[in-house]
Amino acid sequence: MSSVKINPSSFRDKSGYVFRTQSGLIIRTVNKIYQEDYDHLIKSGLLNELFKNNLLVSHREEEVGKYFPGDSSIYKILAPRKIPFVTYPYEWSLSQLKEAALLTLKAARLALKYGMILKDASAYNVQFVGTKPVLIDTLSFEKRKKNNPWPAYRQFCQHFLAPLALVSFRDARLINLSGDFIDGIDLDMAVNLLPRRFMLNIHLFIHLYLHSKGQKLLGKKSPEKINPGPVDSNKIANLFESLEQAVNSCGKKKASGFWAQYYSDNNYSVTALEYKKKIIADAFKKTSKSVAVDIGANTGLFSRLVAKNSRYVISLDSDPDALDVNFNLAQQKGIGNILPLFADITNPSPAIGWRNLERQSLIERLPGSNVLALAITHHLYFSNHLSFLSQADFFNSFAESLLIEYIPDSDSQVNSLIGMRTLDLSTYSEKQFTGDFGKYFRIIKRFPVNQSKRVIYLMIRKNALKKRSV
Amino acid sequence: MKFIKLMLFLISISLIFPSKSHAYIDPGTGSYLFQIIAASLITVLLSARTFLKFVRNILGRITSFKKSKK
Repeated sequence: MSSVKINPSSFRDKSGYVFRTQSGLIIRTVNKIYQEDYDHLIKSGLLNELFKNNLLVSHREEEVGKYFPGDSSIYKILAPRKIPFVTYPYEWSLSQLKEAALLTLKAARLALKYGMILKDASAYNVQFVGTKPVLIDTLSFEKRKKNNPWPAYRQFCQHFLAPLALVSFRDARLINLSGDFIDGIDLDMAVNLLPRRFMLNIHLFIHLYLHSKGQKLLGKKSPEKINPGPVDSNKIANLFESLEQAVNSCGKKKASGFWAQYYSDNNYSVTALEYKKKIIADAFKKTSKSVAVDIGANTGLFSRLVAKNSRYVISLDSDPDALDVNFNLAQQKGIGNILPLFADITNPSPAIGWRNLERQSLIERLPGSNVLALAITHHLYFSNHLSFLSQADFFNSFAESLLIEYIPDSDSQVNSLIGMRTLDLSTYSEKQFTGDFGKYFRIIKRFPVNQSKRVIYLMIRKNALKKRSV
Repeated sequence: MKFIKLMLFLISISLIFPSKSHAYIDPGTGSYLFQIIAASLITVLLSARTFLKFVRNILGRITSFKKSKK
């Protein structure tokens, strides 16, 4: 028997639980309670159809006795395909959240055709493999009870529609709000925060505004007393169509974020930028073809560059507009191994949920990787008051190799950061930089960037990393 | 007609009363009941849209037929 440990986030659905085996394999139990639904999922042909359309993560069945000998409550064991890097909705851009919402509705529509219903519409049930979303909860489908409404309607509106409307109609940074409300954003709060013009869309008006009022007015009534009548499949299909139109009405505005315009509006000369690209491409030929983490990736120019020599690229930025551009460009160019994410590295997503164990912090999830930290150290130093030693210690917690840019205090960008402040610049020097980083990393190569005073260093960590790899 | 009356009642009530927080109201029950009403309303809206498209299509054909006769 191989020992297994339950995933702390797996407790909501009695149909089955998720475990991690000693070897790091993720398995899902299908409990006897869900047997009838699971058999229908297969026999009806829905499972195959979901796989064929890449809507649901594929899996193989494993022997129950291998992990749970003698446990009669378990019907099957599934070993799903591994997701390279687990992310949460509050780390997605508008386009990512929209894709995840449309995927959920597509799966729900398909289930309806096969006499089943998607009983959960949690945004946490969607994961991204590069730019492609996929549902991960195989046990979310159950046989539809005749004339019953969609059980996941409220969840869909709270997990997808409310944050989408807030991000689209109010401010892209409000995506962070999903992290504060793990069960989705309450509709009355979303309505209070939204500008009134969102109601011009009839579908958003129904599913957000009237829905929030309906919750309060009808919440005290007993369903038997009101008896609004049966809901046939046709009505459910129409509900899905209306929700899809509501999702599609949450469009994006023209990217206005400062960083989204960075490459077309900075002080790099074309030659210097090309030279920088060459340095990065050359340096990545020297590192192992592993996972790369691009910190402050902006619109992903360098993430796309290193994607060729990396197994997977986690592309982090704190500007939601730049992030959306990054996601859309990776999608358009068909680069399948880039995962753009919303993350402020000075305040990364924390662990949340029950006992702070349901959703892991970003730092816990970051794998041992080749790290790109270009044009970031001066921000950490001047805006966040983080010494080079503190920065080196941070990168040492997950970087196998580090491609890092040093920007001298004579650089115009540094001058802008300093602004009117009187700062002690005695510890801001290349000597201090290499000395502090040298405590954790072995410096392999120094690349001066032509036509610029900037320098890029390739470093390899000195001590073996304890972190697990992806 | 029952759901349309309910929906109109809901709209008018929601516009009259300011929003208050009700800690002991189950939003799940409210959502459940609301969805049944909303699904019916949406079905009427979508059917009306399909009907209007159909009428527009017919009118378009008649107009183009008249034009071609001239």
